[in-house]
Amino acid sequence: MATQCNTCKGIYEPMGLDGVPYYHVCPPITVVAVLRDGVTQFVPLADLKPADIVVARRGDDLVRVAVADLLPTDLRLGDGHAPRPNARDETPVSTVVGEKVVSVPKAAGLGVKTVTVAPVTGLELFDHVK
Amino acid sequence: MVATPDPYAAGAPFRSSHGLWCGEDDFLRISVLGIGTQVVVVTGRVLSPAGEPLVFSHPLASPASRTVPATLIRAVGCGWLENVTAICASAGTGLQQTFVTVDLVRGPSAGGGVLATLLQGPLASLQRMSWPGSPMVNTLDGPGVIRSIAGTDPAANVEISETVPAGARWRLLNLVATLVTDANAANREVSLTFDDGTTVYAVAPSSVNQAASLTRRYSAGAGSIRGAAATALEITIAITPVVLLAGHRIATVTTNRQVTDNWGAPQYTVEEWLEGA
Repeated sequence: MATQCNTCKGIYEPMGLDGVPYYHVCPPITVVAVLRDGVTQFVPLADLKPADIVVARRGDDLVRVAVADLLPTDLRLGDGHAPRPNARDETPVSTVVGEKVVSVPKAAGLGVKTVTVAPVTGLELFDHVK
Repeated sequence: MVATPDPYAAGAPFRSSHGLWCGEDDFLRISVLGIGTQVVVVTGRVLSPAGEPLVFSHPLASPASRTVPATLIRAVGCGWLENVTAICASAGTGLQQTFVTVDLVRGPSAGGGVLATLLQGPLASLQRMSWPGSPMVNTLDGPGVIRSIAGTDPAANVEISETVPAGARWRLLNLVATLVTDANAANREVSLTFDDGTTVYAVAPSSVNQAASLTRRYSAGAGSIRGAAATALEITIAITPVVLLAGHRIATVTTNRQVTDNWGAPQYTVEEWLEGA
Protein backbone atom coordinates (compact mmCIF):
# COMPACT_ATOMS: atom_id res chain seq x y z
CA MET A 1 0.00 0.00 0.00
CA ALA A 2 1.25 3.43 -0.92
CA THR A 3 0.08 6.88 0.02
CA GLN A 4 -1.53 9.34 -2.39
CA CYS A 5 -1.61 13.05 -1.75
CA ASN A 6 -5.13 14.41 -2.25
CA THR A 7 -3.74 17.77 -3.35
CA CYS A 8 -1.24 16.93 -6.08
CA LYS A 9 -2.21 13.24 -6.63
CA GLY A 10 1.43 12.22 -6.20
CA ILE A 11 2.01 8.67 -4.94
CA TYR A 12 4.76 7.72 -2.53
CA GLU A 13 5.81 5.36 0.22
CA PRO A 14 5.81 7.12 3.61
CA MET A 15 8.66 4.91 4.82
CA GLY A 16 11.79 4.18 2.80
CA LEU A 17 13.34 0.75 2.51
CA ASP A 18 16.07 1.93 4.87
CA GLY A 19 13.49 2.59 7.59
CA VAL A 20 13.75 6.33 7.25
CA PRO A 21 10.49 8.30 6.90
CA TYR A 22 9.87 10.05 3.59
CA TYR A 23 8.33 13.49 3.79
CA HIS A 24 6.26 14.41 0.76
CA VAL A 25 6.04 18.03 -0.34
CA CYS A 26 3.70 19.02 -3.18
CA PRO A 27 5.41 20.39 -6.29
CA PRO A 28 4.39 23.83 -7.58
CA ILE A 29 2.11 24.04 -10.59
CA THR A 30 3.44 24.96 -14.01
CA VAL A 31 2.07 28.17 -15.47
CA VAL A 32 2.46 29.52 -18.99
CA ALA A 33 2.67 33.15 -20.08
CA VAL A 34 -0.08 33.72 -22.65
CA LEU A 35 -1.96 36.46 -24.43
CA ARG A 36 -5.64 35.64 -23.96
CA ASP A 37 -8.51 37.97 -24.78
CA GLY A 38 -6.01 40.75 -25.28
CA VAL A 39 -4.54 40.37 -21.80
CA THR A 40 -1.14 38.92 -20.96
CA GLN A 41 -1.38 36.57 -18.03
CA PHE A 42 -0.12 33.36 -16.54
CA VAL A 43 -2.43 30.38 -16.86
CA PRO A 44 -1.91 26.87 -15.52
CA LEU A 45 -0.59 24.51 -18.16
CA ALA A 46 -3.71 22.38 -17.81
CA ASP A 47 -5.83 25.40 -18.74
CA LEU A 48 -3.92 26.25 -21.90
CA LYS A 49 -6.31 26.76 -24.84
CA PRO A 50 -5.61 26.34 -28.58
CA ALA A 51 -6.35 30.02 -29.21
CA ASP A 52 -3.96 31.28 -26.53
CA ILE A 53 -1.00 33.16 -27.95
CA VAL A 54 2.40 32.20 -26.59
CA VAL A 55 5.92 33.32 -27.36
CA ALA A 56 8.07 30.62 -28.89
CA ARG A 57 11.55 30.29 -30.25
CA ARG A 58 11.39 29.18 -33.87
CA GLY A 59 14.87 28.68 -35.17
CA ASP A 60 16.71 31.87 -34.29
CA ASP A 61 13.53 33.95 -34.08
CA LEU A 62 11.05 34.68 -31.34
CA VAL A 63 7.48 34.52 -32.61
CA ARG A 64 3.98 35.01 -31.26
CA VAL A 65 2.00 31.94 -32.16
CA ALA A 66 -1.29 30.35 -31.20
CA VAL A 67 -0.97 27.17 -29.21
CA ALA A 68 -2.80 25.30 -31.97
CA ASP A 69 -0.21 26.48 -34.52
CA LEU A 70 2.93 25.51 -32.60
CA LEU A 71 5.33 23.37 -34.60
CA PRO A 72 6.95 20.33 -33.01
CA THR A 73 10.29 22.10 -33.18
CA ASP A 74 9.06 25.34 -31.60
CA LEU A 75 10.24 26.02 -28.09
CA ARG A 76 7.51 27.53 -25.95
CA LEU A 77 8.92 30.24 -23.70
CA GLY A 78 7.58 31.87 -20.59
CA ASP A 79 6.84 28.79 -18.52
CA GLY A 80 7.11 29.33 -14.79
CA HIS A 81 5.99 27.96 -11.45
CA ALA A 82 3.33 29.08 -9.03
CA PRO A 83 2.54 27.84 -5.53
CA ARG A 84 0.07 24.98 -5.52
CA PRO A 85 -3.16 25.82 -3.66
CA ASN A 86 -3.63 23.67 -0.54
CA ALA A 87 -0.11 22.30 -0.93
CA ARG A 88 0.81 19.51 1.48
CA ASP A 89 4.18 19.75 3.21
CA GLU A 90 5.04 16.80 5.42
CA THR A 91 8.24 18.39 6.68
CA PRO A 92 7.97 17.56 10.38
CA VAL A 93 7.55 20.28 12.93
CA SER A 94 8.80 18.64 16.11
CA THR A 95 8.30 19.46 19.75
CA VAL A 96 9.12 17.64 22.95
CA VAL A 97 6.19 16.44 25.04
CA GLY A 98 7.42 14.84 28.23
CA GLU A 99 10.32 12.72 27.05
CA LYS A 100 8.80 12.07 23.61
CA VAL A 101 9.39 13.94 20.40
CA VAL A 102 6.07 14.65 18.72
CA SER A 103 6.04 15.69 15.06
CA VAL A 104 3.23 17.06 12.90
CA PRO A 105 3.29 17.99 9.19
CA LYS A 106 4.11 21.57 8.38
CA ALA A 107 1.00 21.80 6.19
CA ALA A 108 -1.68 19.11 5.94
CA GLY A 109 -3.09 20.26 2.59
CA LEU A 110 -6.09 18.18 1.57
CA GLY A 111 -4.79 15.10 3.34
CA VAL A 112 -3.82 11.72 1.96
CA LYS A 113 -5.32 8.32 1.22
CA THR A 114 -3.85 4.87 0.80
CA VAL A 115 -3.73 3.34 -2.65
CA THR A 116 -2.56 0.11 -4.20
CA VAL A 117 0.16 0.49 -6.79
CA ALA A 118 0.56 -2.10 -9.54
CA PRO A 119 4.05 -3.58 -9.64
CA VAL A 120 6.35 -2.37 -12.37
CA THR A 121 6.74 -5.05 -15.01
CA GLY A 122 8.25 -3.38 -18.04
CA LEU A 123 5.38 -4.67 -20.18
CA GLU A 124 4.14 -1.13 -20.58
CA LEU A 125 6.93 -0.65 -23.10
CA PHE A 126 4.76 -2.49 -25.61
CA ASP A 127 2.25 0.33 -25.39
CA HIS A 128 4.86 2.71 -26.67
CA VAL A 129 6.60 0.54 -29.28
CA LYS A 130 4.21 -0.25 -32.09
CA MET B 1 37.09 -10.80 56.72
CA VAL B 2 38.05 -8.66 53.72
CA ALA B 3 38.34 -4.92 54.28
CA THR B 4 36.25 -2.63 52.07
CA PRO B 5 38.58 -0.83 49.66
CA ASP B 6 38.85 2.91 50.14
CA PRO B 7 38.34 4.53 46.72
CA TYR B 8 39.78 7.81 47.98
CA ALA B 9 43.05 6.33 49.08
CA ALA B 10 46.09 7.01 46.97
CA GLY B 11 46.71 4.07 44.72
CA ALA B 12 43.28 2.59 45.29
CA PRO B 13 42.96 -0.21 42.73
CA PHE B 14 39.36 0.43 41.61
CA ARG B 15 39.29 4.14 40.95
CA SER B 16 40.38 5.46 37.60
CA SER B 17 42.36 8.66 37.49
CA HIS B 18 39.79 10.47 35.32
CA GLY B 19 36.69 9.65 37.39
CA LEU B 20 34.19 12.45 37.93
CA TRP B 21 32.78 12.77 41.43
CA CYS B 22 28.98 12.94 41.24
CA GLY B 23 26.54 13.80 43.99
CA GLU B 24 22.79 13.70 44.35
CA ASP B 25 22.30 16.68 42.05
CA ASP B 26 24.27 15.29 39.16
CA PHE B 27 22.44 13.66 36.28
CA LEU B 28 23.24 12.21 32.88
CA ARG B 29 21.36 13.82 30.02
CA ILE B 30 21.27 11.67 26.90
CA SER B 31 20.21 13.35 23.67
CA VAL B 32 19.71 11.46 20.42
CA LEU B 33 19.01 12.74 16.95
CA GLY B 34 18.14 10.22 14.32
CA ILE B 35 16.71 9.92 10.86
CA GLY B 36 15.08 6.61 11.74
CA THR B 37 13.95 5.00 14.97
CA GLN B 38 17.12 3.36 16.17
CA VAL B 39 17.57 2.38 19.80
CA VAL B 40 20.56 3.82 21.63
CA VAL B 41 21.77 2.36 24.91
CA VAL B 42 24.06 4.35 27.17
CA THR B 43 25.89 2.21 29.69
CA GLY B 44 28.62 2.82 32.23
CA ARG B 45 29.95 2.32 35.69
CA VAL B 46 29.94 4.34 38.89
CA LEU B 47 32.25 3.55 41.77
CA SER B 48 30.31 4.05 44.98
CA PRO B 49 31.90 5.66 48.06
CA ALA B 50 32.01 2.17 49.48
CA GLY B 51 34.22 1.08 46.62
CA GLU B 52 31.52 -0.93 44.91
CA PRO B 53 31.28 -0.68 41.09
CA LEU B 54 27.68 0.02 40.08
CA VAL B 55 26.48 -0.52 36.53
CA PHE B 56 23.85 1.53 34.71
CA SER B 57 22.13 1.06 31.35
CA HIS B 58 19.73 3.59 29.84
CA PRO B 59 17.96 2.75 26.54
CA LEU B 60 16.47 5.51 24.43
CA ALA B 61 14.77 5.40 21.04
CA SER B 62 15.91 8.00 18.56
CA PRO B 63 13.04 10.26 17.57
CA ALA B 64 13.03 10.02 13.77
CA SER B 65 13.68 13.72 13.95
CA ARG B 66 16.67 15.49 12.54
CA THR B 67 15.95 18.69 14.43
CA VAL B 68 14.63 17.90 17.91
CA PRO B 69 16.51 15.28 19.90
CA ALA B 70 14.89 12.69 22.11
CA THR B 71 16.17 13.30 25.62
CA LEU B 72 16.51 11.14 28.70
CA ILE B 73 17.70 12.40 32.09
CA ARG B 74 18.77 9.90 34.69
CA ALA B 75 20.50 10.19 38.07
CA VAL B 76 24.11 9.12 38.18
CA GLY B 77 24.09 8.15 41.82
CA CYS B 78 26.62 9.11 44.46
CA GLY B 79 30.15 8.11 43.53
CA TRP B 80 32.84 8.34 40.90
CA LEU B 81 31.62 8.19 37.31
CA GLU B 82 34.17 5.88 35.77
CA ASN B 83 33.15 5.40 32.15
CA VAL B 84 30.27 5.88 29.72
CA THR B 85 29.63 4.04 26.47
CA ALA B 86 26.94 4.71 23.85
CA ILE B 87 25.80 1.80 21.70
CA CYS B 88 23.37 1.65 18.81
CA ALA B 89 21.34 -1.47 19.44
CA SER B 90 19.55 -1.45 16.08
CA ALA B 91 21.10 -3.64 13.41
CA GLY B 92 21.92 -2.16 10.06
CA THR B 93 22.31 1.41 11.23
CA GLY B 94 24.97 3.36 9.37
CA LEU B 95 27.01 6.27 10.66
CA GLN B 96 25.27 9.65 10.53
CA GLN B 97 21.84 8.05 10.94
CA THR B 98 22.05 8.42 14.71
CA PHE B 99 23.89 11.06 16.68
CA VAL B 100 24.24 11.00 20.45
CA THR B 101 25.28 13.54 23.05
CA VAL B 102 25.78 12.63 26.72
CA ASP B 103 26.10 15.50 29.18
CA LEU B 104 26.62 15.61 32.91
CA VAL B 105 24.02 18.15 34.07
CA ARG B 106 22.99 19.79 37.29
CA GLY B 107 19.50 18.78 38.36
CA PRO B 108 16.84 16.63 36.71
CA SER B 109 15.08 19.34 34.73
CA ALA B 110 15.44 19.61 30.98
CA GLY B 111 17.06 23.01 31.40
CA GLY B 112 19.70 21.81 33.83
CA GLY B 113 23.07 23.44 33.34
CA VAL B 114 25.68 21.38 31.57
CA LEU B 115 28.64 20.60 33.79
CA ALA B 116 30.51 18.44 31.31
CA THR B 117 29.91 16.99 27.88
CA LEU B 118 31.14 13.44 27.98
CA LEU B 119 30.23 12.09 24.55
CA GLN B 120 29.23 13.58 21.24
CA GLY B 121 29.23 11.77 17.95
CA PRO B 122 27.57 9.43 15.48
CA LEU B 123 26.80 5.81 16.24
CA ALA B 124 26.45 2.81 13.99
CA SER B 125 25.40 -0.73 14.74
CA LEU B 126 29.00 -1.82 15.13
CA GLN B 127 30.58 1.52 16.03
CA ARG B 128 30.38 3.05 19.48
CA MET B 129 31.32 6.17 21.35
CA SER B 130 33.01 5.97 24.72
CA TRP B 131 34.12 8.28 27.50
CA PRO B 132 36.94 8.49 28.14
CA GLY B 133 38.58 7.93 24.81
CA SER B 134 36.33 8.95 21.91
CA PRO B 135 36.86 12.38 20.38
CA MET B 136 34.07 14.95 20.28
CA VAL B 137 32.64 14.81 16.78
CA ASN B 138 30.16 17.12 15.09
CA THR B 139 27.44 16.00 12.74
CA LEU B 140 29.15 17.29 9.62
CA ASP B 141 32.49 15.60 10.27
CA GLY B 142 33.44 12.89 7.84
CA PRO B 143 31.37 11.20 5.20
CA GLY B 144 27.58 11.08 5.43
CA VAL B 145 25.34 8.07 5.20
CA ILE B 146 24.51 6.94 1.66
CA ARG B 147 20.78 6.62 1.12
CA SER B 148 18.70 5.42 -1.82
CA ILE B 149 15.38 7.22 -1.83
CA ALA B 150 12.20 6.50 -3.77
CA GLY B 151 10.57 9.84 -4.44
CA THR B 152 7.01 10.86 -5.18
CA ASP B 153 5.47 9.59 -8.41
CA PRO B 154 3.83 12.78 -9.65
CA ALA B 155 0.49 12.81 -11.41
CA ALA B 156 0.42 13.61 -15.13
CA ASN B 157 1.17 17.24 -15.89
CA VAL B 158 3.28 17.62 -12.76
CA GLU B 159 7.05 17.98 -12.58
CA ILE B 160 9.21 15.99 -10.21
CA SER B 161 10.01 17.93 -7.07
CA GLU B 162 11.88 16.46 -4.12
CA THR B 163 12.52 18.50 -1.00
CA VAL B 164 15.39 18.07 1.46
CA PRO B 165 13.90 17.31 4.90
CA ALA B 166 14.32 19.67 7.83
CA GLY B 167 17.63 19.17 9.62
CA ALA B 168 19.26 17.32 6.73
CA ARG B 169 22.07 18.19 4.37
CA TRP B 170 22.23 16.27 1.11
CA ARG B 171 24.74 15.80 -1.63
CA LEU B 172 22.93 14.45 -4.68
CA LEU B 173 24.88 11.58 -6.19
CA ASN B 174 22.58 10.09 -8.82
CA LEU B 175 18.98 10.35 -9.97
CA VAL B 176 16.93 8.29 -12.39
CA ALA B 177 13.40 9.07 -13.60
CA THR B 178 11.28 8.16 -16.60
CA LEU B 179 9.25 10.55 -18.71
CA VAL B 180 6.42 9.30 -20.91
CA THR B 181 5.38 11.91 -23.46
CA ASP B 182 1.85 12.12 -24.82
CA ALA B 183 0.83 12.28 -28.48
CA ASN B 184 0.99 16.07 -28.80
CA ALA B 185 3.69 16.95 -31.30
CA ALA B 186 6.37 18.93 -29.51
CA ASN B 187 9.99 18.41 -28.66
CA ARG B 188 10.41 18.29 -24.92
CA GLU B 189 13.71 19.08 -23.31
CA VAL B 190 14.35 18.16 -19.72
CA SER B 191 16.50 20.00 -17.22
CA LEU B 192 17.22 19.19 -13.63
CA THR B 193 17.05 22.26 -11.42
CA PHE B 194 18.15 22.97 -7.88
CA ASP B 195 16.55 25.72 -5.84
CA ASP B 196 16.51 27.00 -2.27
CA GLY B 197 12.76 26.56 -2.00
CA THR B 198 12.15 29.66 -4.05
CA THR B 199 15.00 30.60 -6.34
CA VAL B 200 16.83 28.32 -8.76
CA TYR B 201 20.60 28.34 -8.28
CA ALA B 202 21.71 25.55 -10.60
CA VAL B 203 20.39 24.01 -13.80
CA ALA B 204 21.59 20.86 -15.49
CA PRO B 205 20.06 20.46 -18.97
CA SER B 206 19.86 17.15 -20.78
CA SER B 207 20.50 18.91 -24.11
CA VAL B 208 18.53 16.18 -25.86
CA ASN B 209 15.00 16.36 -27.21
CA GLN B 210 12.25 13.88 -26.47
CA ALA B 211 9.49 13.88 -29.06
CA ALA B 212 5.86 12.81 -28.71
CA SER B 213 4.74 9.33 -27.66
CA LEU B 214 8.09 8.23 -26.33
CA THR B 215 9.34 6.76 -23.09
CA ARG B 216 12.79 7.89 -22.01
CA ARG B 217 14.69 7.31 -18.82
CA TYR B 218 16.80 10.18 -17.60
CA SER B 219 19.88 9.45 -15.54
CA ALA B 220 21.72 12.23 -13.76
CA GLY B 221 25.12 11.82 -12.21
CA ALA B 222 28.46 13.51 -11.88
CA GLY B 223 30.48 13.14 -15.04
CA SER B 224 27.63 11.70 -17.09
CA ILE B 225 28.28 11.71 -20.81
CA ARG B 226 25.75 11.19 -23.57
CA GLY B 227 26.00 7.61 -24.75
CA ALA B 228 25.98 6.08 -28.19
CA ALA B 229 22.89 5.09 -30.14
CA ALA B 230 22.61 1.80 -28.30
CA THR B 231 21.58 3.71 -25.22
CA ALA B 232 19.04 5.88 -27.00
CA LEU B 233 16.33 4.94 -24.50
CA GLU B 234 18.46 6.47 -21.79
CA ILE B 235 19.27 10.16 -21.64
CA THR B 236 22.00 11.32 -19.34
CA ILE B 237 22.28 14.60 -17.46
CA ALA B 238 25.63 15.73 -16.13
CA ILE B 239 25.46 17.27 -12.67
CA THR B 240 28.03 18.58 -10.29
CA PRO B 241 28.03 17.13 -6.77
CA VAL B 242 25.40 19.62 -5.60
CA VAL B 243 25.11 20.14 -1.84
CA LEU B 244 21.57 20.98 -0.73
CA LEU B 245 20.37 22.32 2.59
CA ALA B 246 17.02 21.72 4.27
CA GLY B 247 14.12 23.01 2.19
CA HIS B 248 16.10 22.98 -1.03
CA ARG B 249 14.51 21.17 -3.95
CA ILE B 250 15.58 18.89 -6.73
CA ALA B 251 13.12 19.33 -9.59
CA THR B 252 12.62 18.70 -13.26
CA VAL B 253 11.72 21.39 -15.74
CA THR B 254 10.31 20.01 -18.96
CA THR B 255 10.32 22.63 -21.67
CA ASN B 256 7.32 22.24 -24.01
CA ARG B 257 5.67 19.90 -21.55
CA GLN B 258 2.20 18.81 -22.61
CA VAL B 259 -0.76 18.31 -20.34
CA THR B 260 -0.67 14.52 -20.19
CA ASP B 261 3.09 14.05 -20.20
CA ASN B 262 3.83 11.88 -17.22
CA TRP B 263 6.89 11.57 -15.03
CA GLY B 264 7.43 8.41 -13.03
CA ALA B 265 8.77 8.29 -9.49
CA PRO B 266 12.40 9.34 -9.25
CA GLN B 267 14.90 7.07 -7.56
CA TYR B 268 17.95 8.87 -6.28
CA THR B 269 20.94 8.42 -4.05
CA VAL B 270 22.21 11.07 -1.69
CA GLU B 271 24.92 11.40 0.89
CA GLU B 272 23.15 12.68 3.99
CA TRP B 273 24.35 14.45 7.09
CA LEU B 274 22.44 15.69 10.10
CA GLU B 275 22.75 19.46 10.08
CA GLY B 276 22.91 19.53 13.87
CA ALA B 277 21.35 22.96 14.07
